[in-house]
Amino acid sequence: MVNSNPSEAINEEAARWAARALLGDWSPETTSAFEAWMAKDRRHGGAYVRARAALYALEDAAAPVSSSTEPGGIAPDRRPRKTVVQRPNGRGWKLGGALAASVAAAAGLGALALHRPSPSPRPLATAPQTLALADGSTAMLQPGAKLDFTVRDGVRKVVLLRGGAVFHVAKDRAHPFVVQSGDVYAQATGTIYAVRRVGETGGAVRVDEGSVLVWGGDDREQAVLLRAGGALTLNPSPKPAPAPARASARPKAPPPEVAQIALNDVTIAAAAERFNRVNRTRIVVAPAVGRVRIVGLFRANDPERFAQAAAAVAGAEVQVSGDRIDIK
Amino acid sequence: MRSQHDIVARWVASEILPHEARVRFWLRRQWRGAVDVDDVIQEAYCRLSALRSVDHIENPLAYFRRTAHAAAVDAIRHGAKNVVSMTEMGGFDVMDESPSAERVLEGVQELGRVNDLLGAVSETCRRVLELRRIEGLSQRETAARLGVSENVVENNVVRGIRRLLALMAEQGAGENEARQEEASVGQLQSK
Repeated sequence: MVNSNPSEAINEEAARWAARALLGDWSPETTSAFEAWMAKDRRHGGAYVRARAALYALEDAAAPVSSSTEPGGIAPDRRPRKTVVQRPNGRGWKLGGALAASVAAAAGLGALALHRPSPSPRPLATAPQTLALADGSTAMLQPGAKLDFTVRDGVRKVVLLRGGAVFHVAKDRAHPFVVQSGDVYAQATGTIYAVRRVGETGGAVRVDEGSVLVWGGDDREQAVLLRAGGALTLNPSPKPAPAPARASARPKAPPPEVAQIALNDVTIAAAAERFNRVNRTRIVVAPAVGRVRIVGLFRANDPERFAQAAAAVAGAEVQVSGDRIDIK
Repeated sequence: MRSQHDIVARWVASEILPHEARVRFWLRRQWRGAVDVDDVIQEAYCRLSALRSVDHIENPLAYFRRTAHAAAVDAIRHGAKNVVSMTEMGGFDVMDESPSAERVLEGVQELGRVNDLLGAVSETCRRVLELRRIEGLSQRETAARLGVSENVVENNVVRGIRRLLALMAEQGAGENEARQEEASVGQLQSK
């Protein structure tokens, strides 16, 4: 991969500016020369960031700092976690129809809060319980959690009615194991993962072992593959019809459940819709921009920041005027 | 202005750059020569550099891919090159949501590789960076300490950056990862 010509020259210049930014004394003249260079060609900004990043990587290698520096930003919970799931030992009860289940004491569900800003509204102090499901899987229930388990058409299906649970799924490739949390689905064949209800229709999924496919609503094709250590909160917007009219009645006060909007490979147009539903500010997206897909976790009440990120992805511009944000 | 760039650049160093070879491979596979991958990558960095913050980006690899993909789509629209039907591009919908822990590990491994790469950059470059970070020397002081001119100091760092970027872009290991990824995506689709 040999870069020929202009981009080669740009990379060389960018590397030089990056080196100067690190080493040199930045006189006002240097600063204005740098700014002039940056303004001259929009590609310069990208080349510069890339060169600067390379220099950071080199610096880290040449003289490592004690703690690995996280760039400013949300650090998704990265603590390693071990989930202890005890095998059930007796005492049956009826659950979700014809299923026998049993209980065993288990502990250590504290790590279920995935994205901190929306903690579960029901912090009960009782110990979690472990249910044995008919297929040999176990579900370790968060206090107050409720679920329903059925096997139909070769699919093992758990409907999480309330709260959260850690699932220790018995390996059975032929029969997918699907947990439904509101409008969010998480599917695995044999693995350990946790699912928790978020708001009316959302779900938070964390994978401890193996991998899990997660999707919202009918977007099975848009499923995301989560591997061990991965966590994801999806909060699909409630379907207009069945949901209580709360959302549309008071558009300017988003309920706490939608404090964050997680976008997983959706079009910018669809994402903007979601922001518009919970904010007074309208985001108006140009059609060409609207088709571009975006991934990210955003504060629901900060449409402008979303707009900036969307524009960056689509190579578009943001214009703010009063209660209207244009991305074009 | 520079501090904003630094936040993004730091993030690019730890979260984006290590994936560059992988994304390049992915682009080559998705677009089969319909776009110039170098141009697309450059445009993608350009868009990333316009970010005001990176707080909201939960999955940098996926974000990088989206951005590169959008840049490729635009390149196709603007250019006179053959237009590839979007539906032809299999594997596009299933996205590898690389989990954070794995990403951290990858980051560490990448740094390990960078360590090896240090062998590829000049000793002067390595010493300059060390003196600068550990002892906080200026360019002039560094040059004096190493007994070279300031120009030599700067040139060595510039060459180090170029070398690292070339390796990040071409890395054979990146292709291996991309192949593994391709295999896992294929598996998913066949379900």
